[in-house]
Amino acid sequence: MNRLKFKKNQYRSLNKSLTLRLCIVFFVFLVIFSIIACVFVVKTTWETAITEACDNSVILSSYVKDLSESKNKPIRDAFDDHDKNTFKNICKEIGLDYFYIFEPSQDKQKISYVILIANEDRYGSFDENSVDKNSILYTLSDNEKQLLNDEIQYTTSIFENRYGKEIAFMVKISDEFNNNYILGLDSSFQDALTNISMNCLFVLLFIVLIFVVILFITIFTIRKAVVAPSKKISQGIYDYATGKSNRNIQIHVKANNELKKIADSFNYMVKKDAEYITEITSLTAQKNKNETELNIAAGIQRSILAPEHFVNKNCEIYASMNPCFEIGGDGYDYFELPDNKILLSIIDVSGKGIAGCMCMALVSALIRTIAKNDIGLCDMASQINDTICQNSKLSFFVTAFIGIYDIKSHILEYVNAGHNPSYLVDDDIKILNENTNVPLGIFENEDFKSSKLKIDNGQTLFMYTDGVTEAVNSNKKFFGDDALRRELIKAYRDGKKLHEHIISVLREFTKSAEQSDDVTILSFTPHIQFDIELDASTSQFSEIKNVIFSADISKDIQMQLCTVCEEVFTNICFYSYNNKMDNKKVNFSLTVSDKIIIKFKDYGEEFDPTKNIIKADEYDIDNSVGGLGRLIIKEIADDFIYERKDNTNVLTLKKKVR
Amino acid sequence: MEITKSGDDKKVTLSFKGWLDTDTHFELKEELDKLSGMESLTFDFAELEYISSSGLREVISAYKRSKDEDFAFKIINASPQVLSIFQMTGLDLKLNVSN
Repeated sequence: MNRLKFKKNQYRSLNKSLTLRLCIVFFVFLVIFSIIACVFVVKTTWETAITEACDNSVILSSYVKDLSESKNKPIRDAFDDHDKNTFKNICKEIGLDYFYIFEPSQDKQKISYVILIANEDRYGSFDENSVDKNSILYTLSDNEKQLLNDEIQYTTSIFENRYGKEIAFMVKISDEFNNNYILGLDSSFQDALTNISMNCLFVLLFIVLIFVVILFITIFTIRKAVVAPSKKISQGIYDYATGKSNRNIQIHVKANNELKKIADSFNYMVKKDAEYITEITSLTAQKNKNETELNIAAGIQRSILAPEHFVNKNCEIYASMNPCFEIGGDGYDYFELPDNKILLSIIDVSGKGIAGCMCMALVSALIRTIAKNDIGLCDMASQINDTICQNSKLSFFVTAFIGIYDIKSHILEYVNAGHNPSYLVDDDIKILNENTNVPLGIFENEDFKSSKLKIDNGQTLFMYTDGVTEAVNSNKKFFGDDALRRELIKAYRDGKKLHEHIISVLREFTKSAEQSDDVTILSFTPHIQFDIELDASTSQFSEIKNVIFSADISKDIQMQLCTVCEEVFTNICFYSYNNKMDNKKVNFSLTVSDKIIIKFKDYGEEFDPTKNIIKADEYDIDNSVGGLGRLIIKEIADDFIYERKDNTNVLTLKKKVR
Repeated sequence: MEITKSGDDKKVTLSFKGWLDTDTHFELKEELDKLSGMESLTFDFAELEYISSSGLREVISAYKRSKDEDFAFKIINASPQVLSIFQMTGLDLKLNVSN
């Protein structure tokens, strides 16, 4: 299993990212707030200045009017030197730079100074008389016209003179003589600007201070409430996942929120995990123990079953049992009985797995034991049936196909106890479906009927359990009887091929599907097989001759085989051994089934007699005397095959007899 | 195998009984070596049960000798079993074989 690994810098710290985000958000808010605050401060300061100017203008207007009234002169003539000093002091008191009074001309197009009073604190000894009252004329501005026409209450303007920028505030005043004047109050723009800047600066400092405090409090709170517990939880889970911590780790979080919930859930999970691990460990140990036991049982079951391949001079048997689980309830058996007989059986116990296997072992043992009594097949079946009925408290039953084959008479006597019918396979297929009985182990004292059938050499008796025909593929379809018969016909010629073909077809059919039942097959092919070993000397050919003439085949074929064998044997004596070797042995075997198979094996030099065989019409009688023998072999045998195996020459000759 | 000689010195008939094979073909060779100066040679295969290629080779040498020494050579009364061996090798056409 791969261990949990994180790359360096794969994850960002929650602390850093939260702080960064908060700082960005706070900064944006700070900028917006500052702009709003500054606008507000500027506006307020300006309005205050205007209000102040208004108040001052009211005060000045009333002073000027009072002066005009007391002297009973128009404003233009009311001021004497004393008055000017008085107004200078007023100017100082209310903090003006200077103030002045304009009088419009008759056509209201121009104005001229009536008086100009300056604040000496600011401008030093300012000579008001340097302003010629009647000579300096200004053109009336639009604002001033509107003021005189009472269209507006006051007007403000910013202008520059030799002392710098000034803000002018003007109102209209009148005297009792119905003269209209404009009263102007000037103050330093620089002062106003400084004032505004200072205000803004204070406000900004205040806002920044507030924001910084809030930011720190927020960050501190988030760290304590989110970052610290998250870090604790993440480290705890990481340690648990990577195995750095012990298996009993607990995460303690001081909060009482979702994070606490995560920590508590994790703690609970760790506790449960520990319990599961203990449970799994003990289960695994138990499972291993069970598997070991099952493997031993499977080995025992395999040892109960007869070998998968058997051949002797009378027959050849191929069998296999492929259990659905490790062990199964199917079984097959074969063994020789006295008087040249052989017993064949295939059984299917109701149930699979361990129970099935135990019952199968019991029934197999019963068949072997009772078969020794030599009481005939029907009685044997009855005894097996009764024994199962009497001894089995459990309700299991067995279907079985049991046959006894007489090698001399080629007759098979069989009892079918509720089992699938076996097949006799040849060029055609015969179903052995006569006299089917009830399964074994159901009804006590039941009589069983047997049937008889002749099986010639080379014909194959095919026995199987329902696991074959009821094999299920991934589409939930059964393999079926028709498919089985079709496949049997395809491969009937050879017991081994037939067995392997059926197994591979079934495997292909059920490919991806799970095996649904135990699959057992047994094929039995009677034949006659002779094996002899002789010295490689032509005088030994009479041994081969004896074998050929003792075989149960027609005289014509015997003669032909004799010709063929003589040629092969002579060739081996003269060419393979070449008179050089000491231990010159030849193995000869003759098998008679539906065809005749002859095998020669020698240990001599490599010699392939199947090469370069001349044809009959190529034979030149006048010049050549060799090669005739191999020509005769080729003409008589259906197959003539040479193989070089393990430093031996193996020649196989096949001849059909039917 | 038994070989019985009949006829006179000029017209020889050899009758065969049994098996003409690897074990017995020397007997035919010896019998043929004894013969000389005949005008015709007949093999009677009426009771010959079996012939192998070793036997065939002796028959072929008899045929070759008939060409060299210029006498008539024929095979009579070949059983179907024996005839089939001649037929397989195409020799029935080249040798004068009859059943």
